[in-house]
Amino acid sequence: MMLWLLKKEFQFEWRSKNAVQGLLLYTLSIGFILYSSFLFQEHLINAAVWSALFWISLLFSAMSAVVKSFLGDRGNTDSYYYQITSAHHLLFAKTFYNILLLVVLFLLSMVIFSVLFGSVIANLGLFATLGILTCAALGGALTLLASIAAKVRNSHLIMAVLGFPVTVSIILMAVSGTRNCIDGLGLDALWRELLVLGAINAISLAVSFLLFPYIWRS
Amino acid sequence: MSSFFKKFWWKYLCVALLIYTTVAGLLVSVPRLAIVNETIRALYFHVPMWFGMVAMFGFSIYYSIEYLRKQNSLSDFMAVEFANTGLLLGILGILTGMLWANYTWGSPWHGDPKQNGAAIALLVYLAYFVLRGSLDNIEQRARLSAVYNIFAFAAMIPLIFIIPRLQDSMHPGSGGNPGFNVYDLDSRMRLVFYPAVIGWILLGVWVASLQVRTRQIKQHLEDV
Repeated sequence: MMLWLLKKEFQFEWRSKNAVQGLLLYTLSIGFILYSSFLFQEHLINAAVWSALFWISLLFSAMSAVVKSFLGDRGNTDSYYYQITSAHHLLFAKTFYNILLLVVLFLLSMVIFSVLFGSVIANLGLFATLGILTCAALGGALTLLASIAAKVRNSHLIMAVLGFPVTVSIILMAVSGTRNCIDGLGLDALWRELLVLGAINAISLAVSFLLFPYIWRS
Repeated sequence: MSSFFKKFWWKYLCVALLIYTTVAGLLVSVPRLAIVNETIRALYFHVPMWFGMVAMFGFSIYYSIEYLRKQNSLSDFMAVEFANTGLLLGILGILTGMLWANYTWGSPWHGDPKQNGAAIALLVYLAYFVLRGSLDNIEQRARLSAVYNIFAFAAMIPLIFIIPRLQDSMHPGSGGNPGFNVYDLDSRMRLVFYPAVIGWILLGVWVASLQVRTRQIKQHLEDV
């Protein structure tokens, strides 16, 4: 059932390609704006600035990517899903889809940043692990908030208001972990960040699992 | 708890404890410590704000869970008013902390992990009120804000309990700075501090109880 829902998500996305295209363009534009604002000042971009710029731009893309997952112009598909599937299946399908989407955005941002700001990451393997854990944590937290925001009039505004305070701890961990990756430090300098991110993942998935049925009921 | 609200003894206790806190907190002698000096008395007025805030947010979460289980409007009123009171105590905590930091650290906002954590905790509850404000349907407002309340609290656990311990801080009690436990030798401070904490928490409950009863009366008037 979950796989079927996941397949449906991909099909919906594939049919209206302009959403994905918009998202890719959004990420590209953020990267380029950041690059232009540091033009001829590249010496100012040290490890701390690079990681902060990278994760803040990814956070903005992630917000725009996830907020639409419960909105959409799908008419009455919501009430159709309500009859044929359980809340938990739907939540996990949406969450998993959003995490995959964020990982794609992460890879894209990585390429954009490497081209524009130079590839500074010394430890790519650890950075990829950190990135996937961060995307999973962001995807898990933002999917539940998107389902709340979808019920409200100004969904995009509410999504940002609800999302930023909740994602602060995730972004803080990602930024400090990325600094260490740029400095070429190994796992012994990074395990705390990875552990905290893993804990955030576990907490947000468990709490979403408990709470989503109450949102879905309305 | 609503039967507890109507009792009188704890309100007298609250007034007595806060009068005692104010008088003893300003007059009883305190240990002499370098830099901190007399500002150590902030312990009686600043720290209880955080204890009060955490207690209020805790009650708020409890009533949000109650609301999701029972769907009664009283639980929703309790959740929102305890969040309100917690927000008030949190703002007072930040202001008293800034006053203290201005004299001991040299500037009101020092970018300390504890200050930043507190500011983000307040952002979460401000977001909670924005969410409530943008939902018109009463039942939906109560349910979605209860969900956000619980979720945001869970998401803040790492922010408040884990991350500050990974970073250095100038705040007393962390980063090797003397905290409360260093004053173990001097139990005089505890004689004022614990009553202060209880007094401020009771005051918070009192404020919230009045707000809840106002809401109940308003709802009753609308129904009539």
